[in-house]
Amino acid sequence: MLKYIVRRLLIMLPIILGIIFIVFSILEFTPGDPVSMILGQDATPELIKLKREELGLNKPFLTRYITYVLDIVRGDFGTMYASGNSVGEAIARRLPVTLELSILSILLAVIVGIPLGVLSAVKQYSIIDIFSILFAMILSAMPGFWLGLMLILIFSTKLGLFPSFGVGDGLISFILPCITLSATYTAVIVRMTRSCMLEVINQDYVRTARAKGATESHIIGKHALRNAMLPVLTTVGMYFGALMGGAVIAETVFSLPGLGTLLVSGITAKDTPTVLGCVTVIATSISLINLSVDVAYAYIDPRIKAQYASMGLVKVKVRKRK
Amino acid sequence: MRMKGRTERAEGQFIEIWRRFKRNKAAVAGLVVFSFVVLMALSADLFFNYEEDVIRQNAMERFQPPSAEHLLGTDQYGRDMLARIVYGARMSLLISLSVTVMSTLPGLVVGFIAGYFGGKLDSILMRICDMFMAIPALLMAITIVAALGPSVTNLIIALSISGIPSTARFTRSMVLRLRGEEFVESARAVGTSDFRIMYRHIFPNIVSLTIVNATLSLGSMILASAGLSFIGLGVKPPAPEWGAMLSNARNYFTDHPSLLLIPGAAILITVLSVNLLGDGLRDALDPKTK
Repeated sequence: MLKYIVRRLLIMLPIILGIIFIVFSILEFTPGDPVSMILGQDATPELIKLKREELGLNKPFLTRYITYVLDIVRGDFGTMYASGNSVGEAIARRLPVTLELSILSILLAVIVGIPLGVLSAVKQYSIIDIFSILFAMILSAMPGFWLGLMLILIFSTKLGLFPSFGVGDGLISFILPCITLSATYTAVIVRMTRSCMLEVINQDYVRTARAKGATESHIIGKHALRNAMLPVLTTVGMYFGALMGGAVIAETVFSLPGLGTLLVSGITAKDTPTVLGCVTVIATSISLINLSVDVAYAYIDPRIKAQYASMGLVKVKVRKRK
Repeated sequence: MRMKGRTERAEGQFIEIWRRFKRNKAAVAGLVVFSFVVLMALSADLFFNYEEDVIRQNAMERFQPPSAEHLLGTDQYGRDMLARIVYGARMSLLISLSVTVMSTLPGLVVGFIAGYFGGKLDSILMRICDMFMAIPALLMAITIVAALGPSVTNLIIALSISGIPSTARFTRSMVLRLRGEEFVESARAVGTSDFRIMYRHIFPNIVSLTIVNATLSLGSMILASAGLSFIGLGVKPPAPEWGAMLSNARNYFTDHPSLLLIPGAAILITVLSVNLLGDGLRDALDPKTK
């Protein structure tokens, strides 16, 4: 298994380099000269030239890209143009907020979405089924930020139950942002779980289990759910990236001090190092999380493990039947 | 004679699809509501004057409740909410339709090249797609808008670019599946050119799924453009756009909830109708996937 993980990490490297390259090239088009932004309007030409050299802006594109990558490897994300603060420190301070928000939201989406999807499939065409389909439909058509603002209106302003901004109150301050961010993904998971369960329930082995006289809860829990979970897990992993993108908007609604708000403020201030750093870190976290999802598959599904075993990447313990 | 036979068959197919579509009540409702939104966007000029009703601020008429003169009331600058919603529909549809077309067409071309020719070119194109897809579409769009500066055109460019890789992958998978089919083999055997095979033999087989996919992505594009305008990276005020309207309402909505409810409901209803329409189309075109 370790071999497999290492191999996947090695494949990830060029992808991350590619991501940085894409973002780096896109940000090349940013209008305006960073030097005049740092020094202000009335800087002398000599000073501008010196500063350009100091920032390495006079070097060709590829050289700057390579220097940037090497700097990141050493943990140096550069400094912000306006304040001169370290970008790396700002990211390190804010990353936990974004990660906490995203992970809690995915958990919430899974905790709400999977049982609802299973119920809906088991009791197809019942009231519960119709309710959960409607619920998923409305959630997926709703803009996240609107839901967030509505939650603020109802639960903070009118009822005073939850704070409407910041992370000052610990976990409680994450409740509304998590609901906001998880809405779309809850909808996706409900639909996915429902259709996968429906497919699995009609399979022969489920009928066999039923014929053997297994209890309904055993059939659903042991036979159906386990097999239906794999595509659902794939979806969860796939959508994690989109979720971290959506976090930018959720953080803006609730003014959370996360990477998203840092990114938006970097964009507004035309602060290229901040934007570059944020996008790189978010994209890298996504790749890492996708990797962990892939590894998790192998544990859930023995078939995948066997596949890797045939490639000589993992050892499979063969359990002997007593 | 040959041409006639083909059109007759196409007509029969169309009627068959429409018959299946009609049975799905939710999809028909989606079609009706979406047509209404489109009609509203197209006829906006008949009912409202852009400069007078949508842009001009009127300090005397701030936060008016709904009345005969202002059916949905007025906003924080005394502008008619209904007029802004109607023109907002025009903006939202303009952006999302252009994005859908501009991400589908290049995606089709890339997907066709990768899927049909295969080999090295395919792996290179797909690795590039992988890299683009490793960055979430919304984040990608944010980065591009950040580089180009916020405006409607740049918003359309950004969302289109971020949508190309997924269309390309989708097209590639379909082309790859069809490439090995017998009718393609036989077309090649009689010496049909690559371009003609792609255009006459493969494309007609994937066009319906491509349209379904484009319809389904229309809804998410409306949501994405509203989201970007909300964080200030899209349509700039005073131009009316649903997301930007919600963003402007942020300071006032606790006292005037209608400023929040109306644009949000407009987005919700439009996206819901597009999604229902897309789901219905998918089921009608391909009964197997149901």
